[in-house]
Amino acid sequence: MAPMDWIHAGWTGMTVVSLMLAFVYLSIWIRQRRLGVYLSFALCSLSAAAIAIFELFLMRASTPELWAQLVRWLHVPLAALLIGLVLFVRLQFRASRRGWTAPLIAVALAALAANFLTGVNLDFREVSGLQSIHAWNSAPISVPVGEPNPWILLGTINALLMIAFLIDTVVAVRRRGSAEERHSVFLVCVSIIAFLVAAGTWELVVSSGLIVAPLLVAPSFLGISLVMAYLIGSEILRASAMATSLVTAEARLLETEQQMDLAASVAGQGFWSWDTGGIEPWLSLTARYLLGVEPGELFEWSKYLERVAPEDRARLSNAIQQAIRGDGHVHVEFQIATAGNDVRSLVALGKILFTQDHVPLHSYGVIVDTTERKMAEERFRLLVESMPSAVLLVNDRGAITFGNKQSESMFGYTQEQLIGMDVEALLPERYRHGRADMRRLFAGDPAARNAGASTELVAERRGGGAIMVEIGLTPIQIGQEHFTIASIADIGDRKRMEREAALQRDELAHLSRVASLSALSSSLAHELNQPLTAILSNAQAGARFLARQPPDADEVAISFTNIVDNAKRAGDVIRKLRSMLRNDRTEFVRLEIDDVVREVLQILRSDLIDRRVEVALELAADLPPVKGDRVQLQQVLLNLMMNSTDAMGSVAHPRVLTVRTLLADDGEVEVQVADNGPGIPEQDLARIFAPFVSGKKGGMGLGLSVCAMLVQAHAGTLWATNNSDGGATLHFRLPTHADSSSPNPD
Amino acid sequence: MSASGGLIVHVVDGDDGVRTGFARLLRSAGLDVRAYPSADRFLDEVDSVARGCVLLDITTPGITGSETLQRLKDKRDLLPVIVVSASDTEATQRLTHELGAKMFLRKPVDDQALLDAINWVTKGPVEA
Repeated sequence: MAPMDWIHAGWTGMTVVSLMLAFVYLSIWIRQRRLGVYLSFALCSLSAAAIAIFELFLMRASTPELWAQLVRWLHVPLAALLIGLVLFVRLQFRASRRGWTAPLIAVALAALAANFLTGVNLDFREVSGLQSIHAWNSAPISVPVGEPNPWILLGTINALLMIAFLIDTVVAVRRRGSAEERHSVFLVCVSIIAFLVAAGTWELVVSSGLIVAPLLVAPSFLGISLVMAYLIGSEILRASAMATSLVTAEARLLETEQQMDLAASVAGQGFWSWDTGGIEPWLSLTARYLLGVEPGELFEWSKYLERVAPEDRARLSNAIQQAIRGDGHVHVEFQIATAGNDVRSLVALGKILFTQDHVPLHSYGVIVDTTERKMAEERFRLLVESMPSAVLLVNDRGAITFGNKQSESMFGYTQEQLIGMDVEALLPERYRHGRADMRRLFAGDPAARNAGASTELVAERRGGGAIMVEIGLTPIQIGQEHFTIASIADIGDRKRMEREAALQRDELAHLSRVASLSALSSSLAHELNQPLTAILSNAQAGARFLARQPPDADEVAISFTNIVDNAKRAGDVIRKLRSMLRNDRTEFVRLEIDDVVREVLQILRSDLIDRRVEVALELAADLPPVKGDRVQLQQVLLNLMMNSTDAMGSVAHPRVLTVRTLLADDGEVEVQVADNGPGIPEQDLARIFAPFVSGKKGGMGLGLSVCAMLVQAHAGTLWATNNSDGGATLHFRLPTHADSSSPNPD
Repeated sequence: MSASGGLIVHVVDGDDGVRTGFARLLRSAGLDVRAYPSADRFLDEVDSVARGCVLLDITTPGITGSETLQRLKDKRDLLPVIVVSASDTEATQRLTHELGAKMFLRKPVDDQALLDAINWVTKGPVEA
């Protein structure tokens, strides 16, 4: 064995380096199979190692035949190296046009074929001998002497084509790639070009016999090895930097996740995330709790579905399928049975991420516990269903969003039909467009909303029947939406009853008036007899003045004037009586209460004189007008004054009836009718307004109860007190007319 | 100067229309008439030696006072009272009786009935 010189050491070293590179790239490829680029470079390195070994033997070859044979086989790893380089560049940079690969491989294989079919190898047609030379103190090196093989041209073409391919790649990458990629493509391609130029030129020069030297390829590959080692080193550096930042990012993510989970758990929300490839989704602690997954329990979808309420299972699966087919948004409500056999209402909200081919890749989202809300909704529904009136929930566009059972029976539509209906459809045709205020009310105009205010109007049943209803409207806000709760009561019966009651009240008031007036018949007769007496006297006086000779025309004229005046007076009395005796419907107008007092006193005048009752009138001037029915208020005053007069029937001292009007503290007008009779026993003060309670012998006991009824119909109050100096006072108060500034329209 | 021969008829009635009517009727029959709107005015103004009669509406305000009643009663020998009233209730008749009135006439009163009554009450005491 020859002593170990630098050539031996150098070529052995190149082999080792190439094998190491091959090993590194091969091991990367084994771990990441899809990256063929590593395999292709491993192939290059292996070939380079083989070439170095062949070259070492070539330089030690003893016969020309052996030398030629070795070169012939050297071309196999060389072809493999060239093909490997083409594949590597193509896979690494994916830059050059596809058209390059096949011709390059074809030419390389053609050159390999020529290597075996022509001459002793591709380089020499014939090797005639071997020379022994020494290079820089080395052991003797065998160099060939022979005739070159013209087919070497194929090898040269191969090298030139490859150079063109590499330049094309560099240009393409420089046009599109990042700075980093431009840097690496430049290094890689330039090193390969350098290798090709160096190895090719050397081969040509040696085979053509221009210089006497060994055939050497391996040293040229050293440049490529260095570049690749450098690139691997930078990639390792980059990967480690990335790993570091990834760890930091993961730590941050974990922290964020924990914070979010904490916040979410406070809000009763849990997170889930699911890699489509993975078996088990990741669930936050709250999510596990909400879904009822025990700690340590494996979450299996098919098994879990059994816990979902049977009626929700299909819906839940459908929602997920739909999300997968559609845009990936999941929003589904469902109920599950918890370990304690409680029912928990959940809402799952999430998003599925897809690959470009719409294959689900990853999904994530939140789970919200809505049990409380569902229960509140249920309570609301039960409450509304149990209400005696129809209840509609109307949104700000006037559409019905909910109607209870009562609204079904009231309007004749089913709940399903009511939902989505325009609330106007429940109004009769003639109101639909006229009731702008109603529409505004439902359209969320805050100015038109008056919580709790009731409005009476006519509604329409399905098929056209009109019903009298009273509507109470309450504005509410649910989330961002404004709604109005309309509570609708059928007041048809109540209205009928009110009408009947009003008629009965009018009738009773009328009867009571007739009774009062019949009690006053003698004094009313007096009221009529007075003007009749005056008329008769004047007529007879006139006749006498006329009979005189000569007739006294002036006196006759005066008689006529007096007759006319008194006839008018009699007419007035009759008119007043008629209005009291008529059974007219109640009519509220603006009245001065003092006028009413005077009118009643006029009717009672002779009766009071007859009963020797003095009247003390204390009327407050400038009282605000009241709203009332003239005849009914006359009746109240008449009854009260007659009662007071009756109360004084048996007293020996002078009888005084005091009638007072005044403005009360609360702004109402008060009328007091006081007597100086014996007063009312304390225990009877409240009782006297009940029907059939009479202090008079033969009295029906309806007078005061009718008064109370009439004052009540005027939204007023009536009560009795005893005077400190004897006798009783009856008081009543009436609200003033709302528009007390405008003159009486009648 | 008149057919009444110095007799004066005092008309006491609170009602303007009635008072004026009676006064004009009596005057057209040639009687001498004084008219008063209230009993008090009559009592204050009447001459203590006047002769004639009183035509008194019993519902005239102020008539029910006991002092007034007494003063009227004091005058009744000189001036007999004829009560007239538009109502004839128990209360009216009681008061008529209290006053010791010579006659009660119900309103409206026919002219001849009134004149006959005046004639009768004013002549009665003279003949008696």
